[in-house]
Amino acid sequence: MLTSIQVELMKLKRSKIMLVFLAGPALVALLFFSLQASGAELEVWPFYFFAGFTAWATFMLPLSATIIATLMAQLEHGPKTWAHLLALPVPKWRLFAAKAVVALLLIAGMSILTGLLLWFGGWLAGYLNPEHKLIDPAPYAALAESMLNDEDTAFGDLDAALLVRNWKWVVVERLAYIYLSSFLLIAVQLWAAFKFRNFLIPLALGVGGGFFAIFAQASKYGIFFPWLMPFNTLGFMPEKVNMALSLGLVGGVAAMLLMLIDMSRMQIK
Amino acid sequence: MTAIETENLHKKFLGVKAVDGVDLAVPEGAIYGFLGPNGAGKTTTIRMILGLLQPNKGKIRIFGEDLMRRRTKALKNVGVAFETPAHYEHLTGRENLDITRRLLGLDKSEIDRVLETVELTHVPNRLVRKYSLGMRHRLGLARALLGKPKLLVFDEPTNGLDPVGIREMREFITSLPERTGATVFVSSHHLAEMQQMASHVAVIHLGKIVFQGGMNDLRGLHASRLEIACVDEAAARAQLSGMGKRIERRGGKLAIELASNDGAEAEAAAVNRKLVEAGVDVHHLALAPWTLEELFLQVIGAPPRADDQADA
Ligand SMILES: Nc1ncnc2c1ncn2[C@@H]1O[C@H](COP(=O)(O)OP(=O)(O)OP(=O)(O)O)[C@@H](O)[C@H]1O
Ligand SMILES: [Mg+2]
Repeated sequence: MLTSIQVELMKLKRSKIMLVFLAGPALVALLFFSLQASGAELEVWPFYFFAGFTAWATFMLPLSATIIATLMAQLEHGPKTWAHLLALPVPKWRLFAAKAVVALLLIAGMSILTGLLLWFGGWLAGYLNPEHKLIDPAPYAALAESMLNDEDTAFGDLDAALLVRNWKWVVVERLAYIYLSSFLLIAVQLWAAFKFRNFLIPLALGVGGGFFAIFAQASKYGIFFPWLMPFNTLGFMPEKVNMALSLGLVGGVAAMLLMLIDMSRMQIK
Repeated sequence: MTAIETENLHKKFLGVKAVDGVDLAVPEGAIYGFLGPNGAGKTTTIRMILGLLQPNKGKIRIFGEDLMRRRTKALKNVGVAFETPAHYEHLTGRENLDITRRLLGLDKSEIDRVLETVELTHVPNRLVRKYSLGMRHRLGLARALLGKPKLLVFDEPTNGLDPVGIREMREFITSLPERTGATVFVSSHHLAEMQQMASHVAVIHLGKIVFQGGMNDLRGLHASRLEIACVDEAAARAQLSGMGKRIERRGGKLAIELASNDGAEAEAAAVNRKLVEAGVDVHHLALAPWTLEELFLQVIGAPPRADDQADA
């Protein structure tokens, strides 16, 4: 399996995937750096991060997953190398599994990069103009406890949770949640990209999914919409967060397995 | 042992019987020609043999191993090159080979070995995007040879090559069993090409095997044809008619059918003598091989009818 993964990484050499890998996080960071540098009102670090994560979770991550899955599959569809690969004395599922692992690794890398670049952008904005410096939230632990105990709004909870726990941990935790809950949408994108020779199909699915996520947000069933799960992990109602996380992660792993079973029956006609 | 054995292989595409009850027995060490016109079912059969396409019915064994039950074991010693060579265009020739080498768990030295075998040592670090079709074919061949497989499957390996490329490929394939001890299964729609390389042949038509056996048995199935070219064609025609021969004109030459295949050489010499004695100068005289079309006339009593030609 390690060999298969290595081979998939070799194929990325000189491909546009590395461009997507860098450009996605850079664009998110650049956007929030410019907002901050031009005097946005996100004075506190965690709010700045959460704003950046919202852009990442709702837009850039699903888009990147779409492009990465499509490019990885087109790597074989394009030159028609499936026939050669699938005629090798290697289990067929392993080929698709290796591609899935690489896609997941790439998006993990992009998540980390997004976090780091956001941080750098925020720091740079403050460095260039001290008036725009982001600050740590005030350590009003006691006040926070009382806020948490109140039947408060989600936003009150957000403030409180950030105050009680080290906010840095909350930021890292949520970045991980976004990633893990995106497994389902990544699995679906991979499946579509492998299945259809025509790259417009997975592309349309990804763009359509991202677009409908806007409407799904208002729906009662929105929590079941894969493209909305990463965003939902940013909320501060624990049930909703846990729901999004478990549906995205468990559903994602299940969808990956189904994808492997289905794709290893792929027919070369 | 039998290298490839298929039993009652069937494959249907939307009502079209692409492969219709194919039984093949490819003996080890053979160069086995798989002959048929366009759309006969060659590629479909090969894809099923490689586990790329699920047959509707039938069995496949490779070196005795059941393909459907133990695919990876059955394909362990099989190298493949397809009709159109498919490589990663954005990688170099060497990188392309390295991918397959790693997946097969072979030593690094294998790459240089196969590059040398197909004479591609001058361009291994060039991007495949910049390869000519001939180089792509050879890279495909090199990839098939990785790990010294005991069985090589080639689907129309001369597809799109120029005459020199075709000859090189043919000579290369002919040398394989001797050089590597491998069995070669090669498809083509070109009878003359097959006659020059194959030791065994199966002829497929509309998904059915219409002939299978040694190349010599196939030669015995038809009579030879004599091609004659003279300066004074009218005189030659008169002489040949006098011999009771039916005369055809093909590619600027006269052609007559000979009585039998066995006595072909003697009869050709006799015809030549008669023409010369009658004062007709002959500047070309050759026993011509049958075309695939003529072979089909012999074997199935009708010209080949490919599916894609059927509607026309
Ligand atoms: N994917 C497919 N869908 C539908 N019909 C197909 C498909 N592939 C092949 N066929 C049909 O099956 C028959 C056999 O095709 P196949 O490609 O096996 O022939 P072939 O002998 O390889 O021909 P060629 O010499 O042109 O390569 C043809 O009638 C073809 O039209
Ligand atoms: Mg074919």
